[in-house]
Amino acid sequence: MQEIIVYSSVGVAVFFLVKKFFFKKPKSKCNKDCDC
Amino acid sequence: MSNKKTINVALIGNPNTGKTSLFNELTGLNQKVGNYPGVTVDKKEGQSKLQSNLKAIITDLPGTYSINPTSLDETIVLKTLLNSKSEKTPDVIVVVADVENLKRNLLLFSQIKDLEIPTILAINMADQMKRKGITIDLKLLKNELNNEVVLLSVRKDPEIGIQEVKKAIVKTYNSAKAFPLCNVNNRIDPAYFDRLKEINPKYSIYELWLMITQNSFPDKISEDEKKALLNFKNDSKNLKKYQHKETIYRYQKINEILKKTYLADRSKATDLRAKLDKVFTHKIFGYILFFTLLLLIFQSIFDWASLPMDLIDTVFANLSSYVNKTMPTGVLNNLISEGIIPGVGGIIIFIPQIAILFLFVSLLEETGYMSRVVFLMDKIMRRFGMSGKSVIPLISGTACAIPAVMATRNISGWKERLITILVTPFTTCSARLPVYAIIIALIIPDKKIFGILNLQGLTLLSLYILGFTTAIMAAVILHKTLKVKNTSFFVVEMPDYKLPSLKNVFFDVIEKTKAFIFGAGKIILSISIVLWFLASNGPQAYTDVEKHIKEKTVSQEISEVKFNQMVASAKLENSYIGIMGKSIEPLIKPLGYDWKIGIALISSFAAREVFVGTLATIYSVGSDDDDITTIKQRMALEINPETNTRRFNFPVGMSLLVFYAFAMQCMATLAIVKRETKSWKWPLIQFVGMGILAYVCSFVVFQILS
Repeated sequence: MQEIIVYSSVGVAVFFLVKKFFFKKPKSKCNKDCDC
Repeated sequence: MSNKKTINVALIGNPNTGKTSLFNELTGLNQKVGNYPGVTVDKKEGQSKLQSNLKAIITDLPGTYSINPTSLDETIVLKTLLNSKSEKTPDVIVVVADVENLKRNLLLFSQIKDLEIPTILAINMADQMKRKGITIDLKLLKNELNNEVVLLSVRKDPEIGIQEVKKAIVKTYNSAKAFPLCNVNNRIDPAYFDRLKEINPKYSIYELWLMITQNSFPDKISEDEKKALLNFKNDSKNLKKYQHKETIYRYQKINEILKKTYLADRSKATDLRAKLDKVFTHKIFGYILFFTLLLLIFQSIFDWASLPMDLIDTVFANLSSYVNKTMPTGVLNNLISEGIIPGVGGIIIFIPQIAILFLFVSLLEETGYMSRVVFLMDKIMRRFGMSGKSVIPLISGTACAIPAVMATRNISGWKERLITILVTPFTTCSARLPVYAIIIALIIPDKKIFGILNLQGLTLLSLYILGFTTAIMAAVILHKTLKVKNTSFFVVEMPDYKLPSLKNVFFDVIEKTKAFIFGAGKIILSISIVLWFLASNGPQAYTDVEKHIKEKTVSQEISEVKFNQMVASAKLENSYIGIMGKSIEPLIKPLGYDWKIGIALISSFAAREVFVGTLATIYSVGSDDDDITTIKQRMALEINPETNTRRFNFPVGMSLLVFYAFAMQCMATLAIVKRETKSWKWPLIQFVGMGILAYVCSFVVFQILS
C-alpha cells in the first residue's frame, strides 16, 4: 500500500513536470508587450 | 417690459479642481441646494450677474473624470449633457481644470466639446504655475482648442479670475458657436458612424454614440427611437474596440495640443516636491542616497529575514524528524519526511525574504521615490540594454534571485524585462554563500594583505564583483543579439510624494508572495519529490548496501553512528543520483571534479546550498553547521588517487568557485523564470547558456591553474 502511494506521488510529480515542460497552454501576450 | 435675460451655465470638472470654489465665488450667497430628480445626489444652484442685463443660473455638477460614468454622481453629468435639447439644460458649460493635471482634465473637456455645446475652459490654480515650473502659451492654446480659455486662481486671486470667467461666458453665449474638437467618428470608422447618424438625425453623432455606449438616453427620446438605437447597438460587434480607439485618439489629440502649448519644466519649479526632486535626482547626492538606502534595505532583509528563516528551517526539520520517528518505517515515511516536508520547507523558507523585499519595494513605489530612482538610473542602465527599473532586481538578486525576478514586473518594455530576468541570476545570491565559504576556506589562506585586508574576504568580494560584471556583460550581449520586439520608451511619470497607503502595501506583498508559493512552489515540490526518489532508490547494489557494509565491518569495532554514516554514504553512491554522478564523471573530469563532486553538482540543482550538505553525506559526516569544520577537514583530507594530491586543491577550488558563480544551479529560479516569462523557452536558454559559460570558464581556469 505504501509503495502504491509513494509511486503514485512520484508519478504525479513527473506527470506535472512533463505537462509543464512539454504541453503549453494557449497564452496571451498582453503582459509581455504593451503594444499588443 | 424688462429686457433682462437669464441663461443656464453648468460647472463641470474633475474632482479637486476647485470647481465648488469657483461656484461659491460666482454665486456668493445666492445658492440653494436641492436634489436631482429621483436620486439623493445634491444639486447646487445659484445665481450670478454676468452683465447689467444678463443673469446666469449656475449649476455645480458633480466632479467626474469623463462622461463615461462609473458612479451615480457621474451619471448625473451625462444625463444633463444628453438633455441639451431641453430648456433647462446649459447654454454654456464651464469646464474647470487643474493646471498641474491639464492633460487628464482635457479628456473630459474634449468629450464635452464633441457634444457641440458652447464651452469655456477655466484653468484653475494658475498661481501654482511658477512654483511648479509650468508655462502655458494661452493664445496658442485658445487657437488649438478653438475655444475660450481662462486662467484663474479662485483661492489666491478670485477677483481677476472671476471677472475673466464672466466675460468669457458672455462672449461664448453671444457667439453661440460650438465646434467639436476630436471628430472621433472620422478617425474610427466613418461608415459605421454614418449608419448611426441615419438612425436618428435629430441628435449629433457623439450624442448618439454616448447613448449606445453608456446606455443612457435623453428624457424626451421616444421608445421607438430608443429601440432603434438599442437594435443598432446589439448588431455592433466592435463597440468595445471603438471605445478604446476613441480614448486613444482623444489622448493623441490632447498630447499634440499640449506639446505645442504647455510646458512643465520641473527644473524651474520651486515647491517642496521640486526641492526633494533636486536632491533625489542629483548627479552625485542622488546616487549616494540611493545606494545608502539600498544598503539599509539589504541589511534589513538579512537581519529581519534570518530569524523567521531559521524558525521555518527548525520547524520543518523538527516536523520531518517527528514524522520520521512516529510514522511506521517504510518508503512512505521516507517520502514524507525526506521528500515532501523538506520540499515544502524549501518553498516556505523563501517567504520572509520575498515578503520583506517586496514590502520595501512597495513602500518606495507608494511614496513616489521609486520613480526618481528609475529616472536616475535609466541613463546608465540603458547603455547595457536594460531599464532604470532593472536596478532593483539586480541588486535584490544578491539576497535571492526569486524575488528579484518577480521584481522585474514593473519594467514595461518586454525586451528590457527579459534581459533583466535572464541576467539577474548572475548576481551572487545568498545560497551561493555556503558554497563559496567552504571552498574559499579550503583553498585561500587566512592571511591579511597590507595589514588590513583579509585575503579570504577579498576573494568573496571578487566573486560578488564577478557576478555583477557578468550580469552587465551578458545584458549587453543579449541586447545586441535578442530579436525581441521592444516598444519601450522612457516615459516615467513623477508622482507627488505621499505617505504610503498601508492597505496597498499589504495587498501588494500578499499578492506577490502568493504568486511565488502557488506558481513556483508546485514546480519546486515536484522536482524535490523526483530528486528524493533518485537519491533514495537504486538498482540491486543499492538494496544490498547494508549487507555489504556489515560484511566489510564485521571484524572492526565501529560505533552505530559511524556505521549509519557509512551506509548513508554507500547508499548515495549506489542510488540513481549516484549512478548519474558517476556517469557524468568523464564530462566533469576536465574541470577537475570526480563523481562525488558530480553527485553534489546534480543534487545542488535543487538549491545551491545543498552542495555542502551532499558532500557532507558523501564524506560520511553530519551536515549541521556546527560540523562545518569537520566537513572542511574531511574535504581537505580527500585525496585524488590519480595524482596522489589533495582533491580540493587550488585549481579545483577555483574551478568550482567559477562554476558556481556562473551555473544556473537553482530550480526555484528556473521555475519562477518560467512563471514570469510564461514559457519554458527562456529558463531553458538560461540554464543551457549559463551552464555552457560555467563549464567553459571552469575548464579554462582549471587547465590554466593546474
